[in-house]
Amino acid sequence: MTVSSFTLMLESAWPARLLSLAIAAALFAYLRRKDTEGQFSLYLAALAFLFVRDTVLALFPLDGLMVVSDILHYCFALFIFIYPYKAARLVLLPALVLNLALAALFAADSALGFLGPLPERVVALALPVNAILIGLVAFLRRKEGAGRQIPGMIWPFAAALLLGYGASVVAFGYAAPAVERLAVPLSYAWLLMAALAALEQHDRQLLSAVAYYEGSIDSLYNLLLGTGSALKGEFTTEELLKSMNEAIAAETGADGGVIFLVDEFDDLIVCKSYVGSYPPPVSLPESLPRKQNRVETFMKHIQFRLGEGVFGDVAKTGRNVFIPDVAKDPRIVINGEEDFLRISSFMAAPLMVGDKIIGLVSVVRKDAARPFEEADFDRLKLLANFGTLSVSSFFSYLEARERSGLEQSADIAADIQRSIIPKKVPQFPGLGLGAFSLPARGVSGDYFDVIRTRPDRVVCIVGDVAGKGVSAALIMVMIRAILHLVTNTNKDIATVLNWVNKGITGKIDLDHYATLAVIAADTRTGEVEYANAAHQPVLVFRRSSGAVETLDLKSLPIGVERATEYGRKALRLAAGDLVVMYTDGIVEAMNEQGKQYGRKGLAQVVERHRDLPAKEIAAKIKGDLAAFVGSVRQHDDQTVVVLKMSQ
Amino acid sequence: MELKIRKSGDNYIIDVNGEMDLYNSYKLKELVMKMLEKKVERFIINLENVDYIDSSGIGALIYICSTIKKMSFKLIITNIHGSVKKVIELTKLMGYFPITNSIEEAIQQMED
Amino acid sequence: MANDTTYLSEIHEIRVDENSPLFDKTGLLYKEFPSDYRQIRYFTLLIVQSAPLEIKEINLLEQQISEVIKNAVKHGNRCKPEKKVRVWYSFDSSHAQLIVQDEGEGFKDLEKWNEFNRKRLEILSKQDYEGLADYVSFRTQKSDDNDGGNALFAALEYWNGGFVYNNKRNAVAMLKKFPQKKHAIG
Repeated sequence: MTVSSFTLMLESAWPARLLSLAIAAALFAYLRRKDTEGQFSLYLAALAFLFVRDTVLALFPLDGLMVVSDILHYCFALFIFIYPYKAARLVLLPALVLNLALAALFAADSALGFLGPLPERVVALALPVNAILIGLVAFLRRKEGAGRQIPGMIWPFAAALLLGYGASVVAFGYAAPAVERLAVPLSYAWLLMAALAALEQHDRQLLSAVAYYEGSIDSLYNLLLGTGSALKGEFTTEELLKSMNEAIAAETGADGGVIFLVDEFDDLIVCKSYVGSYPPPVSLPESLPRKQNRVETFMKHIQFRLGEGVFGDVAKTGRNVFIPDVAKDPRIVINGEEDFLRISSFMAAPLMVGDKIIGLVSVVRKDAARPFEEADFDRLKLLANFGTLSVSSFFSYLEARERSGLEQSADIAADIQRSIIPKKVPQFPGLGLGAFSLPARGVSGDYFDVIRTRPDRVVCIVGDVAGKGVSAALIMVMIRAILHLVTNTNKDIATVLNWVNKGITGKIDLDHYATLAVIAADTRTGEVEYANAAHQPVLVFRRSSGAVETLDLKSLPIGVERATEYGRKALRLAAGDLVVMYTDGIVEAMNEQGKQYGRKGLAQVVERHRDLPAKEIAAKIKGDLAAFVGSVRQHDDQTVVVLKMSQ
Repeated sequence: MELKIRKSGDNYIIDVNGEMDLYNSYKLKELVMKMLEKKVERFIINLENVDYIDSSGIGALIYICSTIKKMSFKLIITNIHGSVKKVIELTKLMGYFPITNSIEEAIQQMED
Repeated sequence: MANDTTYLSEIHEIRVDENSPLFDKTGLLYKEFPSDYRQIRYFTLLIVQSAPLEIKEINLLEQQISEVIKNAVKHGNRCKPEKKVRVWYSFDSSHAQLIVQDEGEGFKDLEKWNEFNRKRLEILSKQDYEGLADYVSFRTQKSDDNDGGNALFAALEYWNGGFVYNNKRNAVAMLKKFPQKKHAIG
């Protein structure tokens, strides 16, 4: 290309046209990044086509090129403006074919001249005709949804422009300077409009997204307000769930809402909250009268197994359910047309704490003309998540109380026990004492106490409370309290046991039992009183004869019968005599071979070390037992109290 | 075990608190018999606060149920849960006993 | 610990099988009790308190064990305190195993009971609740007013790992397998 031809180009209409095209192209290119539907490709293709046409024309001013290319240009427009209207596509194909045929014919004729010179301006009639077609179709179809797209936004302008341009070509021809320099660049304006319309569409989308998020934040705020006030004051699970339920139903525009909670023990879900009017989406039992109050009450207390029906499925799998039109869906049963039986639209979402499903929320609408929409479903999911989050600390508390409530109460029980088991046993000039108590698995059912009732009188108690946890620990506290009170009186120890028994039996709903063995000793004279409530027999080791006696009294444990009368035995200890009290965890302790330690094992270790002071004998028993059981885990508490008359 | 009686219209609601076991289930039986002597015809036994029942308790309920049925009076057992529900399921007596999930429903059913 | 799956399909009948692995006492803890009717729940508690805290149906387990002990005390040993009830047991979070033996003459009406239960289940499957009225309790001449007769119905359903008697029918061995915790989503 020479400099002169380039100068010619510059002085022609080319730059002006190029500018229009460039602006439109720039806008489309910018929006193309956001365009996921590829609808802009067509516009860009049209722009590219026109650019090529203009450049070629500037370099090679061919006759007839304008009209042929304009027909093609209008074909683009035809496609863009008619294609979105499905019904009108029937017209599109023939129109395009005719246009293309015309263009081809004229081009062939210009090149080969077999039809004689066709007047350009007559052929150009196709342009205004196309424009009218575009306008007609768009006008007739203007109510269709395609109207929200770009063609729908700019068709009046585009049609008018293309009509005007076409008319001017027919009237004045391409050679006219006004047409060449003004009309042609102006004809690109519709593409420019399309670009601007695309921009506006983009803005509109942004605005609607912002509006949606604002709406979500409002809903969340309302939810928090509702549940927050429930959390502030006195709250029960029912009230908390009620606020959450009401908030969710309001924000999703529902007619009724229910919340189910999972009952872990039974693998059931139970309806715990009901607001508005929520007809049962399951078959009603035949015997249930179809009256509003009966049906409502039925729904308010309804239960399902995990996995049963649509609710059970949500609770088991954690899947959301969205059924905007229940009519065709087999999961939902409509029991009738009455207002209290009819459902038209249904949604459900699980309530989760961490990855644990604790329940579900569900809402319904009854008006078939107003089904739930995707936005409502999104809202439900958001609120279900958020609602559970904001009250999850409460639900976690319930769950923790449920699950590790046992651990917690075991801790409390252990604390209580630690505080009442004596840390040190008193010693007397005439009588030495030794003891140990080893709990199994942190919660001891064993109890022992050494009470100095008078300077020279001591009462030793060893007991075993049946059951575990806080309630057993509390029983221990009660027994200890009664014992401390009663041993200070002058009553004999059998009466003491009677009183302990009366104090415990029947006081509480749940049965609680304990065994007790009581030894009351005069530390100077060695006179001993023994009483027993079903506890292990007490061993007495006589120094002089080397004999081992068993002290026992057949009796009922504490807590079985209120009127039980306990008996007692009396004996006298001589110097060097030993008394050993213990719990069944000692004699029933098993080693790896499955053998029990037994009374024999206990007696043997005591006899071996009978010359040691009571404290050391207790330590020897502890060591021997540990050696016996080896690594076998012990399932019962082990307690020993040793009394030795000084020598 | 504690037994409390209250009234709702013509319905007598017996609230059972505690455990129904081999030592105390006879008490419920005796109470219902006494109430039948006093011409009570509509019984709702509320087991909301019962979380332990054994075969004696079931036996007592069966006795009460069949006696009331024979006299053509009405009985509904309500608010069973946890191990009580499990035991009734294990003995496959869920269909035999007239059961509702709540006292509200029991009162409504009484009117049928 | 026994692990016998053949019993799972035969849960509707009490079987007599002295050679069942459920009677294997190795590794089991042991306690014995006098046959004192008043202390049945106490004895049960002594046994159950060695069960781990994680078992979520502990009430139900306690109740089922108390029934078996009650049977041994009341029907086996006729509530005579000098007669012993011997219990071998073992618990962990996945299972509970028990053997209960009394000094009595054995469950003589065992076959009659199976027959009765069969009829009962038939009536239940037909949902004939009128007819069920005759089958809610199993009574023999030795039953009294306080016998529910229901304990065995529940026991057969509950001890899903097996419920068998020895040849003399004065000892019964049973196994319960606890459902393991499911994952939250699934």
